[in-house]
Amino acid sequence: MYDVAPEHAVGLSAALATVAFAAIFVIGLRLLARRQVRWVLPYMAAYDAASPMTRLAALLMLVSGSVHLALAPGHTQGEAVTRLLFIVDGLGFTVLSLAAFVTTWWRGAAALWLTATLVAYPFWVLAGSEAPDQVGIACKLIELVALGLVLRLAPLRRYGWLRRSWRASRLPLVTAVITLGTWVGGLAHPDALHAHAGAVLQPVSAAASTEQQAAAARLLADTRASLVRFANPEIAKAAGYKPGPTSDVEPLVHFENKHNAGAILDPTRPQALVYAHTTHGLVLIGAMFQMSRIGQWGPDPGGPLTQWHQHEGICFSPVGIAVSFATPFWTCPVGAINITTAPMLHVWIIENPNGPFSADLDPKVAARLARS
Amino acid sequence: MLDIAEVLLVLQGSLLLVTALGTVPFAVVEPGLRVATPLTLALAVLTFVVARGIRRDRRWARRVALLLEGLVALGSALLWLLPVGAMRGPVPLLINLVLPAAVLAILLTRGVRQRAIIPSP
Repeated sequence: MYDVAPEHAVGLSAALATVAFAAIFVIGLRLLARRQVRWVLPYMAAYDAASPMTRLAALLMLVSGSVHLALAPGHTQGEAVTRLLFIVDGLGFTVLSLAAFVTTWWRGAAALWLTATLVAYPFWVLAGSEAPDQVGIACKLIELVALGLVLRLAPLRRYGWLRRSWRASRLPLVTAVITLGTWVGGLAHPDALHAHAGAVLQPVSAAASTEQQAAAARLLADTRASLVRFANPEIAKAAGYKPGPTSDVEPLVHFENKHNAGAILDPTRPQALVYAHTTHGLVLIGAMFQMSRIGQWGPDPGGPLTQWHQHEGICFSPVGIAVSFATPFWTCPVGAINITTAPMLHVWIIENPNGPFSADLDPKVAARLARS
Repeated sequence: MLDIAEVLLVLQGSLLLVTALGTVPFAVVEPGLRVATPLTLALAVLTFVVARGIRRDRRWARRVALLLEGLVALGSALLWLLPVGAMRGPVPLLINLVLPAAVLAILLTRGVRQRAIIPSP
């Protein structure tokens, strides 16, 4: 669900370049200090006197600042406020990362700046002003580590239990706000290529041509004709289709045939058949075509009418076959692994208000089937 | 250096805590997650306890942290090799490989290992 947005890829380059630049900068200063260049000596002494935590916090803030500054030009039309905030944020982080070595007040300011930047992100996502992507989320992770370091740098004093609890819960609390806010915001405002949680759609043209409409109708008719023979699930099993895991969430079950893995959008050899659990047994409701590799979109003869999709960020637990969505930080519960499926295209041979090639069966239809 | 490992462990514990909380709605309808959710919560608590132990310079905490992070790094490396798309993009790389590797690197540095030889108070 959370990809690297193409316009944000420059942020990754900026982050890597900043780390390299910082290393070269420090090496350069050290060389100059060895040659006793006078103006360098106090800065090098300040750097050497700083703890590893201070140095790491400064580097992480510098990286976050450079990512914000690199992304600012990409926010153009109608995003003037976001662009301005990115510039202010980037400059603020740059100043604070340098201040860490030459001032005594930097720690409080950095804690405030980091917290404000971190908490603003989920609100921005919830408002629909920014789509959560991996560059943004990686940047938040860097800022969370920086915040943890800055908070840990606070001098240890003897506090009461209330104050100690607050100090211990600050980082988990901010992490929870970021994760849950970004998660909810991403689900509430999916971009044009996310049909629903976890499904990424194949990029296609906006409207179908006459030829594409005819091709889509032909694919539907051919698939319907081919599936007639599998109305009885026992015949499907005899043909090599094996029932997959069932979920309590929806009444559908996919019968998969590994022997058809190499076929590409062949109506006579679909990779899976979709049955619905009803009160009178399994009812065949469609087929699923699937490519063999992740990220390899299939042919779309119907253009936008036959749009493939792949599921990303799905937590799949082989123990008890349980499925949930990964958090924006791509974490899954214990025993589950985060998987991405190869692209797939469903063909529904029953009436589906979402369309015969929709990624999902309409929930009302699914519920009606379960009751029938 | 141990302070950095402590911060990273607290962050990992926080992420596990949020993961456990985020799984609760799914556990309502997915029976398999009714076991995974409390297990994730327990692992989050263990991670916080280990982080506290690291702060107090406890030898058992370093050992548990080494075991946990080693398992996570190894499991993630194996997942990387599998064609299931588990490590797509910078976020899973940072979370599953860079964070555990950083904690391992800190705990295995010479200074920290020498401190570990001295019995805990």
